[in-house]
Amino acid sequence: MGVITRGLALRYPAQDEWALDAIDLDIVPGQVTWLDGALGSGTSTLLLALGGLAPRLTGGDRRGLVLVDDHDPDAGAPLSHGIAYLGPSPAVQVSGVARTVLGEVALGPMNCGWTRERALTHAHDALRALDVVHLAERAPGTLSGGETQRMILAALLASAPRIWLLDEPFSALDRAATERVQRLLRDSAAAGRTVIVACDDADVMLPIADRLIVLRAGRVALDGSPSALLADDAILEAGAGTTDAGDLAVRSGIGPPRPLTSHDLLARISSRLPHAAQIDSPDLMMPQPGSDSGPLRFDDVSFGYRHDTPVLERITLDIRAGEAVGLFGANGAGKSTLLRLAMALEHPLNGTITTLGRETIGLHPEDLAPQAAFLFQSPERQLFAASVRAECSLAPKLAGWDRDRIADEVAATLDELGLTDTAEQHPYDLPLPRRRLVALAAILSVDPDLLLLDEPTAALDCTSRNRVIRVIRERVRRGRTVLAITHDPILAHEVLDRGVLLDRGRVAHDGTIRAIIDGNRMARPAALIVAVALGLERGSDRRDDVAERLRTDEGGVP
Amino acid sequence: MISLAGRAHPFTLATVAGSCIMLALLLPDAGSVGALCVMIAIIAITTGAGRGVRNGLTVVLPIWMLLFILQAILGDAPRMPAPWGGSLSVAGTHWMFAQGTRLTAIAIASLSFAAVFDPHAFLQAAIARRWPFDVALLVVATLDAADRLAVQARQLREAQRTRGVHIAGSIMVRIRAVPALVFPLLLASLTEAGDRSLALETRGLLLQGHRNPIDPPHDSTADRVVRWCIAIIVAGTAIWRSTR
Repeated sequence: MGVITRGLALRYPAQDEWALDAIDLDIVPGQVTWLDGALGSGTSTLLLALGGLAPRLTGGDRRGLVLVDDHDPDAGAPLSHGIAYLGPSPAVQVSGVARTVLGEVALGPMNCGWTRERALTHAHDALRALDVVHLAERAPGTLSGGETQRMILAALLASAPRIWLLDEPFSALDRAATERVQRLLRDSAAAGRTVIVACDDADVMLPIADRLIVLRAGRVALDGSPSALLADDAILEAGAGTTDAGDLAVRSGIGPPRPLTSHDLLARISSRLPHAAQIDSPDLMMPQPGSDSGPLRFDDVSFGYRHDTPVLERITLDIRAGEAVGLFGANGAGKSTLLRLAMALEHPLNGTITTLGRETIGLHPEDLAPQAAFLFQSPERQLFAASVRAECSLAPKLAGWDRDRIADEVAATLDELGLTDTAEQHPYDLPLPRRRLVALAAILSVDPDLLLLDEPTAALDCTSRNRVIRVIRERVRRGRTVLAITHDPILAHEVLDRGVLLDRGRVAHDGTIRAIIDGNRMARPAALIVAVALGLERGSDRRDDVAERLRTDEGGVP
Repeated sequence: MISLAGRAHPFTLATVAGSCIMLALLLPDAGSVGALCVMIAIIAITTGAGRGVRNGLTVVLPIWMLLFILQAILGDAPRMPAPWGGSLSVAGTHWMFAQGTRLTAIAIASLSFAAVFDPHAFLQAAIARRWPFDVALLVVATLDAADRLAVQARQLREAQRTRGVHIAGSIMVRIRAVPALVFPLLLASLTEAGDRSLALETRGLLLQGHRNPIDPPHDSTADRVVRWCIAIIVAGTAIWRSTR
């Protein structure tokens, strides 16, 4: 039972390279197995192969043996083998044949031939397990990204799978939902299920994973205990990341075995701490409004996609030039809608929005571009040029830049995001996470004054995530204004100054980013914890500052 | 408030739409088909499917223009005087009205049906009637394809607009924007087809075997009476036409 592969190799159509090669694995039930690796390492392909979806749906060749609970998964739909597969873009897995979320969740059991009563009982249990009971009567197409991810997880859970294959299952989830899914996976493993998760977030996986398999160029590079592997240099050499605290330890010159949690890191440097590691005093000071109106202003704005269902109510916000502001809140709080309103993709029912000095009523998004730029939540299907370079050249071209300037800026942006080697490829030939980077590069290449970003680091590997954080921080340093939705605590801490918390369509808090983090909305980044312990002020508490302090501190790092 | 079309059994809606299309093909002349068009439009508007009438008329408008140019203006002799001067082909004009009204009836009947089509209710009704599930799924997927394409087109247009591509405004601006949308849309549709197969596979929609309906729509006496009456009307028309 469980999963067995012998000499598994897989090649996509028209590709010379094997996406997977010589994979020999025995994955036993009752464990959470974590797959990690750099972008393009083959983790997603391995999940597709184990689910029998590659090469059956993708095309290409497969060699070697795959057995899932003693059956070759290639011979039938995943559910027929008790396999639940969650892809990296859950929205594409919505069936399109259900009127309500309850109907969508009950679909799997119905397709398995269960009785109506049993199917509905399991569907209701799954809705409760994912805390989406309140969405039961909503239409699936009206959910936010995070709500859709929870709905599809509930739909898979309702079929009582024996094997979970999950590709980035936490990418759009808020903290509460993340903890809920962590518990669900742990409980499933404890109940004897086989749980295999491809995930780039080491902080989320470390507490729940029993085994870590790191892939590199389609082969197994490392296989062992997550805590042992993450603390060692080998994982970095394999191109995968470590935890936030582990990353800070690497930057600080701390050798292996490295501490993997903030608690362990503090214990390692405790002899030199001037302050107790105490950060339970949230700074809820409201930023003082500036004398001039900023590039983005919401004045008593209300909005609903239908008049009788408000999504945002009486929002008043003033975002000043050069500010980096984060939008936070539970899945479905109205964050993406607020961003769409700022870009004139929607218009308020009441109140006014002023973007870059222009009231958005009567404006179209193209009237605000390229000075305002918008990154969609799932931009990987919103690319339209024939090459990555052409995609990135479009906005500067429309802005009237000359050819040399366009070439220089595009080359620089591609380089910043690590996309230079893919410049001539078609965007649709790239894997999903790289397409997301292309979408970001396409809006950054015109150097906009206002960046509206919806989850810019979601589902990116560690290296790409660090690149994106560095690039956005650089834009803020140059005086650009950023309004970003994120569930990524490192992005929030490293880039943002101010946090706006939305709760059921209303502004619940508007204060410093530390207040949002301390208010338990997200995990505390290691850099913040160590900075507080070292007594560093805001402004010198970013990862690089803290690492530099630890490196240069008297006595060096133990 | 749920419209009458929203309350009707999905098979009733399909029967009404299918029968209107059959009648459009069976009725002999432009006058009777024109009357059928009016009747379909009234039924659609009063039962909550008015959007389909608007969409149908939008679709057939360019076809009418084409028929007018090719048949009425460029058609063969004999010719008759046109009200604005010049002349029109007699046979071509008759042919234009005969075929144009048929196409109009078919377009507004099918698009009105598509406007109120509920894939969930249809699938549940098909399962309750023990239809082969893959046949029902094929019907649903076919009718749903246009909606999916529309969503894809909207997302692409939004992405283009946020990058500064002008697609609204004068006719010329709109025409210039079409190629920029069409090719990416075709490519995105191919990707979408791959996504659909992933969804069908992973959600168990392609599993063989018996299914039990979760919430089959209520098939009322009124629904059954409407279906039988319409079937009799279509059968009667077919017999009448075959004997003339």
